[in-house]
Amino acid sequence: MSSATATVGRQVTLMRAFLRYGIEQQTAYRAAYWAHLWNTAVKVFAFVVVWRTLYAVAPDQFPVSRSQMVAYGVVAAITSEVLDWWKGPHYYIAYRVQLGTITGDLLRPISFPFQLFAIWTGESAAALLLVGVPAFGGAAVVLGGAVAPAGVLAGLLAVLSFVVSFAMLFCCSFLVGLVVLKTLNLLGVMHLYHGVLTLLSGFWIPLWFFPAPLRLLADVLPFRGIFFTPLSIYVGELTGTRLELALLHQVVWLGLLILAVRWAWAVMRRRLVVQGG
Amino acid sequence: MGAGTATRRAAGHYWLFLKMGIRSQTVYSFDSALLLVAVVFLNVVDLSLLGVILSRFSNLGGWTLWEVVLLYSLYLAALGVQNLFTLHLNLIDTYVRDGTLDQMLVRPVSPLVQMLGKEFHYRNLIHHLGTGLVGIVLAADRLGLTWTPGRLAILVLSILGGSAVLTGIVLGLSSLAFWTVESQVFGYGTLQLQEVVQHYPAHIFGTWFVRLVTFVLPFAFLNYYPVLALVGRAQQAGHPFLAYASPLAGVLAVAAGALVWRAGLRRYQSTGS
Repeated sequence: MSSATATVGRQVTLMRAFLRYGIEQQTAYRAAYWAHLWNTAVKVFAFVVVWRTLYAVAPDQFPVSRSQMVAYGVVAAITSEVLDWWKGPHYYIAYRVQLGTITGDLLRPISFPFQLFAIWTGESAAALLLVGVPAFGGAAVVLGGAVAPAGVLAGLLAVLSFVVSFAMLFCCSFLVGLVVLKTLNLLGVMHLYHGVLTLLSGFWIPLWFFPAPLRLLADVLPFRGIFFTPLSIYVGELTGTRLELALLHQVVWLGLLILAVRWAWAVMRRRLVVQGG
Repeated sequence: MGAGTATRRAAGHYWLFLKMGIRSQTVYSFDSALLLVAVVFLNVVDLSLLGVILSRFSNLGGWTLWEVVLLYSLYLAALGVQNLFTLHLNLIDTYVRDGTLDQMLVRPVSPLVQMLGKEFHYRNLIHHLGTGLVGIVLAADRLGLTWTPGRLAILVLSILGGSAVLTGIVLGLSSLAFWTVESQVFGYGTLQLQEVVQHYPAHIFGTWFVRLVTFVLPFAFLNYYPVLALVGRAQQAGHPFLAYASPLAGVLAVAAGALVWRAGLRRYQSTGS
């Protein structure tokens, strides 16, 4: 019992250390932080204006109300900036392999995927606190109640769904990182990854506007679980059985992705060739 | 006569530096191919999603689907030309820090000419420019625009002017490195603004926004105004002249960028690295 407590205690200490590291990473360059906040604000502004403009053209095309669509746009813009998939685990892997310092990561007595997960959690938590919260606060001041979730339950379920989506995004990025390890090409792979997420995750255009074949593809693949599912829950578009099925889709895909990460890492670490130094 | 010789010599030097830049990039062909596929894919995704939206809603701020495709593609084309010649201007802060700029200063050639000609990013030839041109041709066809000599001239001059606008902005912002050491963050800070101008007709965001991207950070000259000229709706610009003003805006932007560069260079003391 006490050893289990000690293990948990050690994990908490580790997470705290990585969280601190993440906050330091986010704030090391103050100018970069302000630029990030500014970019987020511009993105929120653009999403809101575009959805309002389109809503004025044809409200009947939307399965949700005008203020629900505004809420979708605001939260989509902010979460897609907080969960940054340009500088995620895959970027870290490529960078550390190039430098050769990945050997140091591998020597540590905790698994490499867990280290990356902890670092990324720290960075994302810091981004959430330093960019997400102020951006959302600003939007709430300007737009008022329109940015609120559909209800308390919808809000809580959306948070839960975002936690799952966070883990899903980590797994996807980690797998992309292993592809980078194999091809030693970061930029091309990252652009492809960004394209797939833009198309299928629903952070820009919600999937309910998709034509049938594309919708089917997006529904089956895991990526809609990263933004579309939590966002649809947040605005109250997903309820009842559809909501349960969407959460199930997320959890099943997360399970598969975790298995994929474990398997791919087990294979890859045996074949890893460290380049530089 | 003396000025002519100097210009010819500068042009000769520019060419020499370009050739060296090309040679330094001929390795890594797999990387280039993959990046090309990826960038084209990313643009196709963006255009498809805009298509998904605009096929549902007849217009965005009065602009139809293919006008928005033209808007997006013109931005890509101008970005493509800028990337070809001056992508490396983003790295001025790195050159200041690592002493590359010092090397340029000891050579008997204008540092600005050396900086502009430092590299030629031919790998970006098809990425943006190619995709953009395909989009322009497609959109023009769907919009029923015929390529009269006049329209073709507007297109070419707008793309060149737009790429000059971008070069001027990047040169100006990157040259802030002479004061702040780090300057890539300024370019990063305009990223979302550029995304917005590339994807949506600027006027839907309000008059103040159009003024911002016309007079302060004139990204609208890359695509918004040229589209108005190409589809024959110049009167919808704040002033009809603006629709044709991309080349002039390009000259002004580069001049402004060069002023910042020169002011920075005058106060420059090597970082010593």
